[in-house]
Amino acid sequence: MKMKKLLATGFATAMAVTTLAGCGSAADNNASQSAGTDSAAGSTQVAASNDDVTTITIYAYNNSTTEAAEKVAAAVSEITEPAIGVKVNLLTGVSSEQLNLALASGEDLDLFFAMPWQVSMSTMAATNQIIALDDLLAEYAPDVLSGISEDDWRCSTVSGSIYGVPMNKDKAQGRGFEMVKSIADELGIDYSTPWTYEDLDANLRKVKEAYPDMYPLVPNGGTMIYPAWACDVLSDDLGVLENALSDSTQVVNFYDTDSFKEYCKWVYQWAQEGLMMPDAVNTTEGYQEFFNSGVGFGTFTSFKAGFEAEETRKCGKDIVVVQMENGAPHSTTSMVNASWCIANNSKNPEKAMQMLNLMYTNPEVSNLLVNGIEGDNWVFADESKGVITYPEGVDSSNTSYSSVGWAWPNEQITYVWEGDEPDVWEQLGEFNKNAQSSPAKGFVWDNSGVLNEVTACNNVVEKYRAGLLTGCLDPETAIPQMNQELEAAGINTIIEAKQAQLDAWLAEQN
Amino acid sequence: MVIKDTKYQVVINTVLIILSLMCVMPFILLLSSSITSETALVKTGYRFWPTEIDLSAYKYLLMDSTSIVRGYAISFFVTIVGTLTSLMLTTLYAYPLSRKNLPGRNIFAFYIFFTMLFNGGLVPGYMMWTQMFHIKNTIFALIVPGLLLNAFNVIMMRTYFTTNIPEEVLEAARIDGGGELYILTKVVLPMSKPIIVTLVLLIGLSYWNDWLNGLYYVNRDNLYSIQVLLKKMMDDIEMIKKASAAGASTMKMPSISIRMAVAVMGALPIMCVYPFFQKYFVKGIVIGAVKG
Repeated sequence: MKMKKLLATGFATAMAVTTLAGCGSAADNNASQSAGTDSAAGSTQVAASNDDVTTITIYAYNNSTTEAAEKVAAAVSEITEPAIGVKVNLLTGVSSEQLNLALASGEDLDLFFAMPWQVSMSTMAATNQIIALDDLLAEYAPDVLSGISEDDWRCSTVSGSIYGVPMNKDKAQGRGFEMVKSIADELGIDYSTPWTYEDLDANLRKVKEAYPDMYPLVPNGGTMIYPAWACDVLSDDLGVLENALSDSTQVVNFYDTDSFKEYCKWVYQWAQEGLMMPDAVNTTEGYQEFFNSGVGFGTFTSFKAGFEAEETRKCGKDIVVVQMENGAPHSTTSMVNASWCIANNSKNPEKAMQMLNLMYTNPEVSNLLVNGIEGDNWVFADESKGVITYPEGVDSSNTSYSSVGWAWPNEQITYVWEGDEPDVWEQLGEFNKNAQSSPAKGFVWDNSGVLNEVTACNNVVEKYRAGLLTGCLDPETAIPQMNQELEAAGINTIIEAKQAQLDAWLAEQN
Repeated sequence: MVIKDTKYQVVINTVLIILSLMCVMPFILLLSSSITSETALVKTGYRFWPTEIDLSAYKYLLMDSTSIVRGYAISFFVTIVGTLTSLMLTTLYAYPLSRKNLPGRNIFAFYIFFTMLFNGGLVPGYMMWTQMFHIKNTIFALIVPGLLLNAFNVIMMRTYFTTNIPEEVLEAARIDGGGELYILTKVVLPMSKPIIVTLVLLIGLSYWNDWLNGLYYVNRDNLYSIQVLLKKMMDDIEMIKKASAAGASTMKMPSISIRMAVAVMGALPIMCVYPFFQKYFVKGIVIGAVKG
């Protein structure tokens, strides 16, 4: 008797608690999270009350204050709620740790950015953390599907299914040399046509002669942007196509190629003669600091349309860039496959795709997400041309919502920042279109079969790469030694596996 | 004999002076570079005496002074509450373990020892804390996971109890009519000041320095502890440098000196507290050795 009474009280309490939990959480952001795990009763209640409006959680790359993110989310929701019945919950500044934890733990997450250097799309697809998008794209985002080229879709395709929408940013890169414009002009350095290493050598000497205190060539954060020629690194640089501009599809050891040896030989020579900053491996500063403080003149770089304006802002000095002879703009998988994905955690993938569609195609939504709130984070500098700038008293260091256009699905439909050319997006589109595709563009390397070799080889690479790229190590001795160690670590196994995968992939394409 | 003694003194003092210089010099370098201007740092490198004094790194950090103050407040709160709770739990686990007549003593000892060797891993831990305990974005996220009870501390404290509290004292207390709780609070704890102070310092430091919990479990800026906040600020600077649409020149932003300033800001409060703990610290940490 007593037992029954106790049980009854217990149940009553449990019911009361779950009901309360359901009601309470319907209002706040963590709605489905707490309700879903608390009790079945709670979650059905939430679903019922939220039938017409779905909350879509978006993880974003850029930083902002929580308040600003909520404001942006509210403004976006105002557009999306009537249009597709979606309320946006925006989390900014998500680190790769947080992203991986959320994916692994089944936390509320619908749309997120997949940067190839943070997460691997093939791994996420294989472990079911993201979902295939083919059907969703066809049904809810036909414009996106047709707007992105076949080539580009292939870069975010894993075993036959599309798993991500490539970000509409620079999808190609040229390889070149960037330098301080005032000095180049003063010394009559011609940067209108592509340079060979000999040209570069002559120009570096000119600078050294005129400015003995300056280093004509500086590193970037202890290493160099590489390679300085059009090379398809095939996801990692173990086994590459030496020249992405040729038709050859032979996978070779990057560190054994003539291009690499030639590059190292030159840099080493420059370092020996004081043209290159000494002890570069141990400097942590970026080239921007060196340019700005007048310590450095130039460095190797990859470039895209609108690059000079961007660099000029970063360095605080006018910057020009010249293409290296073998560095014509080219497009490879890793330049394209930064994508937006739908997490398997998503409770409503259809709505998530509709939201992604709006993010890609609706200028207003895209602009809110990229640039933040008008008045708070930006104001029009020239409304007719769609050029914006920071409001009075706000600049990049204290804005509450940092604008990182390329990390969003489509920066090319947003307003242009003052300082960029008003037609920068057209230029970028042209640049992407005109760049030559690597024969292996779209091939996604799956290294799961040779993980041990990859780890071992990466350790060897770690040991030598920065030293060689910055001219601290003598290539005559270091390169053979490095390759010997790489072979012992199993680079040939990797190359074989990669070649086999690439051949199979190529056969599939034709 | 006297000569030998002075020789010994000279040698030992030189060694100690060199050792302490090795500890202090990097910190002086840190301080000096945090107040040097960015351009001077790039041009001349790190110097022990700043070539061009420039406080812009601190200005940037203190620009948003409310969040810094809030960060410090959260850190202090978490450190104080966390340390007290943790100390209580540790004592309550360690004391019974030190008593030979505790039934199942070996099981309890093994139970805590086991956690030193194995743990469930990050993802299961994360799932447990976020989905069963819902601590995400609460103050508990900064206090509970990983820090509340450290097996090493428990074992250290137990060792102290067994070696430094004679059985006879406990017996005497019992004969005087003291219950277990009375014995613990009135007899054992007053005799254990060195170990308590040591643990307060160890636990307090781990709370103060912790930013992993903030990274995993917190994404609202009103809950950032000072360490998380400082890390976020450094990320912000990196982000601004990467951001394509930066608008204005980003070169005004100090990035090297700010790293140094961040380190100074994070370490400052600990340095202020440390001297007061030092004498106990030395006494308490020498566990197991014979002491007077």
